[in-house]
Amino acid sequence: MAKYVLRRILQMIPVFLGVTLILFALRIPGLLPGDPVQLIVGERPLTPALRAEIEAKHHLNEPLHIQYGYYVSGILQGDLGSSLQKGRDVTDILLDKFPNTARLAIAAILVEIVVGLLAGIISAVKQYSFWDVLVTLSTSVLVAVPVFWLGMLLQMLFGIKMREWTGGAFSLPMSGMGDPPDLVHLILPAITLASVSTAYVARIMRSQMLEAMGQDYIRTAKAKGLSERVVIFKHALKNALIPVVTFIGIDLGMLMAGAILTETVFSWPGIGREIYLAVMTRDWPIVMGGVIVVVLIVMVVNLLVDISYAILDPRIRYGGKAE
Amino acid sequence: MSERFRKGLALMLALALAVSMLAVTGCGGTTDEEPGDEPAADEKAGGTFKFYISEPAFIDPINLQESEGTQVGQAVFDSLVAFDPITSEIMPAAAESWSANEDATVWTFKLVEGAKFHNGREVTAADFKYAWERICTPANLSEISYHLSAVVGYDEMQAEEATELEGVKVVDDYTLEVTLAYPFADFEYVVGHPALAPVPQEEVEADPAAFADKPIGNGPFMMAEPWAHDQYIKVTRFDDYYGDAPYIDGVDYVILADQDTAFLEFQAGNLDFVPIPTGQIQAAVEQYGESPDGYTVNPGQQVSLGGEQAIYYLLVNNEQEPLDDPLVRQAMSMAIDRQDICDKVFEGTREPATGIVPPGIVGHRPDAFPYAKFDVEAAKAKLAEAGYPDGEGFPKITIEFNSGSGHEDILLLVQENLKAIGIEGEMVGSEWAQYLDKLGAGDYSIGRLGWIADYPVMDNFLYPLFKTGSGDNYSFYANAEVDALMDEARGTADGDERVALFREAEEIIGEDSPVIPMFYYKHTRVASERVNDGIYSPNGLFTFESVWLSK
Repeated sequence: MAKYVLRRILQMIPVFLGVTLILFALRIPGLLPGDPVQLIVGERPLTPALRAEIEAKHHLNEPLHIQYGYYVSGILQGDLGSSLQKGRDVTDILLDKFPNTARLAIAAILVEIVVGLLAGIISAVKQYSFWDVLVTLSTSVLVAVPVFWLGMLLQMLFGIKMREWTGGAFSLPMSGMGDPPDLVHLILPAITLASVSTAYVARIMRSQMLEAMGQDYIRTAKAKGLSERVVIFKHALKNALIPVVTFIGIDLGMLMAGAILTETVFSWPGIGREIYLAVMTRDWPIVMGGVIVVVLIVMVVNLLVDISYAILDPRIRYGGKAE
Repeated sequence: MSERFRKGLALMLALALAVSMLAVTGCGGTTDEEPGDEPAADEKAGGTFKFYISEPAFIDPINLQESEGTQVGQAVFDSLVAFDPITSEIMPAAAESWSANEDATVWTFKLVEGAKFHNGREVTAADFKYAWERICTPANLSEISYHLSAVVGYDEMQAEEATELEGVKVVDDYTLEVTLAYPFADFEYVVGHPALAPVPQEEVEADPAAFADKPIGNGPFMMAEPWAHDQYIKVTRFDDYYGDAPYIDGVDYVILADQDTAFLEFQAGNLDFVPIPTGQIQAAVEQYGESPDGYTVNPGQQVSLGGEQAIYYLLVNNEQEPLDDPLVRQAMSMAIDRQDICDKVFEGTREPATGIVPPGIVGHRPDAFPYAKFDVEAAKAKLAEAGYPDGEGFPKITIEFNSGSGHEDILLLVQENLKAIGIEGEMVGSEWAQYLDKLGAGDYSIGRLGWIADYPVMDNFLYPLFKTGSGDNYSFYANAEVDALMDEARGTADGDERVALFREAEEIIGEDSPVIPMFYYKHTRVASERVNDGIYSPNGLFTFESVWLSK
């Protein structure tokens, strides 16, 4: 097991270097059009002194391989450079944003687990019932609906219309995290962010449950006279859960890396919105730093998911000798 | 099965009812207004203004340039002079009076005595000198030092040969003397820019990063807490302010990523001033009422649609044949149906330009450029006069733009307009930085740019854009007579005479048509019902000094 983990970690190094190389290539003059220094100052006239200062600050006057050296050693020391437009360090900006993204991701995952699993189990156990039809239909709709549209719909419904209907008594916050951050502000963004994945979780859960319920050992369990509850939760669920856990694990990695659409619609100050705004203002260091952080998070979460496989399912052997 | 369905449905309805009842009772307190406010002596006093902005780049004066940061900076800092929010007339601020010598090269500013920074220390002339030198020091990476380029010693500081601005002299605590390298009578307007406000050296040097997030200024409002990036900036009234105290207790600048969200928050009653999304402007005017002068907002007159001090114009490469012929440029200018473009692309939120100097600028006059009007027949006649009847023999030109910012929609219509008089144009889009490179190198036929006033004077539109060899003169216009007139204007201390000289220059430029004015920008914002006497100035800044909130 330890050997397996070690090998997986070592495998991450070339992937990481590959990513930095691709990102760095974007800085090579001529690849992105235009003069990078002019990009920094925008429409303003540029004095030679200011140009020299900016070039020195961003090492733009060094040969490429030296620049790459600066770049990688910077990353390894946690230095992702500084924003072109804001005069702040990218590391600071992203560190500011990460807890917010994590907060939203965890809320969304909870929605996913509670609603998704329950819906999936119910619709499998009560196959072809009203609930089953409801779950199957609504999950189809949720998967098809664009996230930003759902977000705006919820804002309209719970932020504006609900306030009108109740004469101002009830509405949900539509943007930001609250000051100080509170749970009410999480409701709409978390539901929006969780929508598609919840639908998937419900569907996977349902099909896995149905498959498990049709197995011989379930019939045996039922024949033994075990109660329905024990059969479902102790025997079927445990075996049906593995693919669902995988899905949720990978999804957590994606969510931790920021949700561009949801965070933008709800003005949630997370990594996704930061990357979106940086792309819009062509603030490359933030985009590049953001991508590196995203890559790191996804790699780490994938590793954890793979390791948990090995723990959850003893049948799975990783790289051991063929038996 | 049908019974199962009924049971399920009933259960769901019951659940929904329970949830909504819970929600009504549980979350009833989301609005934070307390009805029991004690009535103040002055009913105008009090309240916090909720103002939408997007994340600023800087709020420290050292790099105050884009609209969002300037919005905050102007509340926290006072420069030497200020401008009337509607007429742009110059008014005293940190300086109570000022004067210039005969040829406008030496300026003396008398500061208000007893004015204080938010840390309690008195503001003196030395604080201006420090602030300006801070901006001019290249190592500080300020992108706005050009404001001070007229000051003696600026070039030396930029070349890193000097660490002081030689032309800025602290005569005594309340007297600042500024010597310019050349006559510049509009310099009094320049020093009104919010970036040129004084900063307290001890606070900056104690912790520059902290100062960037919580600048300490001399304005009517002080930072209540450090800038919460991407969330909010809060300022409260500064009680030791030397000028008239504002009515409101403070401003919460709410930072949102997206204008549509801001408008939703406005509709929900959580914001007091926001942009109106395109497509909803007419509806907003009907619902909230339009401000009579376009700038002042009051209950029932909440939509501000006044003109801004900014222009969108087409560049013409004056050095490229056959565009070097004024007749050709006049023809092109008359070929363009500006109103049609305003209607089709901007839903009426732009106004056809009739000159390069927008309304709201001291000295603006309507119809300043005689060829900035739509007249196809006259355009064809001009083109024939230039030797290209129906565009015969006219070479194909390029129409260049920076892609991704909606300019293509405008220029496609321009392309169509030009085609109507026989001029074929090819659309070429490039990235912003690359686009600027091309303009600078003269590698284009027709381009586009926007120009926003730094100061509300004609100089700001004419001198940089049309002076021979100026860095912003991308159309490469060169006219010795215009240069002489503008230089003379810069050396004319009397305001009216100066405007007269600039108008003379403007007339010649209009005749030569080196650029094609397209449209003036217009406000499209709406205030909430509780905003009284709010002014959204033509320069795009909201005035918090006079506004008061209904309770």
